[in-house]
Amino acid sequence: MSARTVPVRQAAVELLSVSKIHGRDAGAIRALDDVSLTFDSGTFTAVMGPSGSGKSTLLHCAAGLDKPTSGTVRIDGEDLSRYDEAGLTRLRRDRIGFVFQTFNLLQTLTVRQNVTLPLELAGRRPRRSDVDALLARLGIEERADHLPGELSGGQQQRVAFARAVLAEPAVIFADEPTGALDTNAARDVLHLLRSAVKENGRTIVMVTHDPNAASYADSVIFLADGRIVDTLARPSAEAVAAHMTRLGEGVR
Amino acid sequence: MTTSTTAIRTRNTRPTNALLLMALRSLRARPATQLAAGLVLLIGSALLTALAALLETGLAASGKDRTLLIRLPAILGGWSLLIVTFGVVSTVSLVVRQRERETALLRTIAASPRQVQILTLVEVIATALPAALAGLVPGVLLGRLLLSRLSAAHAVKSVSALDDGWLTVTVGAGVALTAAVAGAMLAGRRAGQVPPVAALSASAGVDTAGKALTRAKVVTGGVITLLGLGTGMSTLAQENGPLLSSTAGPAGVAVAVGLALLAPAAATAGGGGLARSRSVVMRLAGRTLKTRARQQGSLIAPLTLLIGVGSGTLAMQRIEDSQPATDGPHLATVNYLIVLAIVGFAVVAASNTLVAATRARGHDFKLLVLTGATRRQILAVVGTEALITTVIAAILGGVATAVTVLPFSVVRTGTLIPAQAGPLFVLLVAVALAITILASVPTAVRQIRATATQ
Repeated sequence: MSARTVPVRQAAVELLSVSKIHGRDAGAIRALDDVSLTFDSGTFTAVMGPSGSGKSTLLHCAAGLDKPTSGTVRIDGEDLSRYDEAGLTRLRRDRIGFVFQTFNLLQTLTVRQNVTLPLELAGRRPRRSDVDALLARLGIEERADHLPGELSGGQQQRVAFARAVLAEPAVIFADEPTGALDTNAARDVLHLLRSAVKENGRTIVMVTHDPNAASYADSVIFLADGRIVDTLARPSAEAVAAHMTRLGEGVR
Repeated sequence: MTTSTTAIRTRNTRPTNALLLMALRSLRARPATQLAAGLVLLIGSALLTALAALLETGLAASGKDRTLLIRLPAILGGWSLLIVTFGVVSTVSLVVRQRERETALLRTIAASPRQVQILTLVEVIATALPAALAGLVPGVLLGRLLLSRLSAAHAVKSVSALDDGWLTVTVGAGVALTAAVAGAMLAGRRAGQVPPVAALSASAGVDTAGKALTRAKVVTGGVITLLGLGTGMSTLAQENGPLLSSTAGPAGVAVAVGLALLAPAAATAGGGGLARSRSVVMRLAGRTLKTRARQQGSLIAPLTLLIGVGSGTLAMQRIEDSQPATDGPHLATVNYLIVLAIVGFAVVAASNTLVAATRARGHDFKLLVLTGATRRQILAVVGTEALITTVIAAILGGVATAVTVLPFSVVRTGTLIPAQAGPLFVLLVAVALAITILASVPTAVRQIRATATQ
C-alpha cells in the first residue's frame, strides 16, 4: 500500500475512454461506449439515465467491481488495471466506500460490528469512542448494539453510510441509495450525503433515477446508450426531470 | 448531522479476529443449517469410529478372531468411507453455496478472496470439529454392539472387550473431519471467486449460475460408475461363499456415488423431456428442473444413494438370511446399521437441500402469483418437481441396486431377480418420495403465504 496524499481538488476518480461490452458476437451489448469522465475531490455528482443506459455498469467499472473491456480507470491516481483481485480488494477497503439501495448490511452482525468490519478486515481496529462519535453524529448511537433487522430502512442506510465513511475513502459510490426508502427517510439520507460533501469534503458519486434525489448533487451527468449525452450544473428537480423526459423520448 | 472531520484513530489488529467473530455470528444465526450439517458429520464419524474400533480390536487379537476382525471392517470400511466422504463434502459445499450472496457482499465491502476462504474454513471447522468428536461416543457404543453380536453368534470367541485406542479416534473423527476440511477448501475456493458484482444484482437468491456439470465431475462420476460396474461383473466370477458380498456391496455403492455425481445431467435430460409436456404444471416443473440442474443434482445425489445403497444392501441381506447359514447372520447387524446410517444421512442431506432451495424461491413464487398462477398451480408444480426428482433418483438408484443384487443373486441362489429385491426397492423409493414432498410442499406453502401477506 502506497502512502496517501490528498492535494486540494485532485481528481478522485478518472475514466479515460472506458468501454464495456457484455456478451459477445451477435448478443454483445455495448453498455459503456468510450466514456471519459472526471469526478473531482469534494464534489457530489449524480449519474442519471433511463434503464439500460449504462449507469450501473459505469458505477461498477469506476469502483473496480467490474473490469472495463477497454480504457483506463484511476482512483486517487491509481490505475485499477494494474491490480489483481486481492489488490483491488485492498484498494476498495482503503479508498472506496459503498452505499447500496438494499443497504447490504450483514444481518448477523450488530450495527457497530457492521460499521467497523471493512477496517477490521484490513487489519485495523478503530477506537470505540471514534466509532460511537460517528454513530452519534448520524443519530444512530442508541442502535449501536442492535442487529440491522431491528432498524428502519432509513436507519439501516445511515449504518451503511457510517460503514462507507469510516475508512475515510477517496470516493463514496452510492447506488440508488434512496430507492428503498420512503420520502422522509430519503430526504434525511440525501441531506446526510450533501453535508458530508459540503462540510467534510467527501466525494460522492450517486447513481439514481429519481430527479429529486439528483437535485441534491452539485452536478448531474446524463447517460443514454452507454454514452454521456448531457450534463447539468446546480440542478433543480424540475430541470433534471425535463432532461430525463427528453432522454426517454429518444433524443440520441 | 455531519460526518467526522477528524481522522478515525485506529490500531493495528489481526483481520482474523474479525473473521472469527463473523464466523461465530453467522453460525449462531443459522442453527438449523449447522445442525443438519453437523448431524451428517456425526453419523459419518460414528460409523467410521465403530469400524475403526473393530479393526483396532482385530489388530490386537490373534488367530481366527484377528482375521475376521480385520477383514470385516476392511470390507465395510472401504465403502462406508466412500459414502461418508461423499456425504460430508456435498453437505459442506451446499452450506457454503447457500451463502453466495453474502459472500459477494463481503467481497464488495472489504474481504479479499483469501479472507473469504479462511472464513469458510473457520465456519466449517467450528461445526465439524464438535460433530466429529461427538460421533466418537455413539461410534464406540456401536462398535461394542457389533462386537457383542459377533460374540453372540460365536464368530468371535476369545475377544470380549473392544479395543478403542488412538487408531479408533484418529480414523473415526479424523476421516470425517478431513473430509469436511477438504470440502470447505473446495467450496471456499469457489466462494472466493464469486464476483463482487453478484451482490448487486437485483435477482438475488435465484441461483441459476454455474455450469450444471464440470468436466471434473463428469470424469470422476464416469470413472467411479465404470469401476462399480466392473466390480459388479466380477461378482459373477466369485465362488459362492462368505466373501461374495465383499464385491457386490461396494459395486453398488460405487455405481450409486458415480451416478450421483452425474445427477445434474439426468436432471437436464428429465427436465428437457417434461418441458414438451401438454400440461402447464408439467412444463413449468420441467423448466425448473432444467434451468436449476446443478441444484437439482445435489438433491438427486443423496436420494440416489438412499435408494441404490439402501435397497441393494437390504436385498442382499434378505437373500443371505434366506440361505443356509454361512457367516451371514452376524454380518446382518452391521449391514442393517450401515443402511440405517445411510438413510439418516440421505434424509438429513436431501431435506436440508430441498428446504433451502424452496425457501430461496420465494421471489419466484411471488412472480408466478403476479403473472396469474393460482396457489394450487404453484403447489402442483412444486409437488411435480418432487415427484420427478424422485423418479430420476429411483432410476439411478435402481441401476445401483441391480449392480449389487443381480450378480449376487445369480451366484448365491441361481436366480437372476430375487423375490426380496422388488418390495425393498419400492419401499425405499417411497421413503425418498416422502422426503421430497415433505421437505418441499410445506416450505412452498409457507413461502406463498409470506408473499401473500406482504
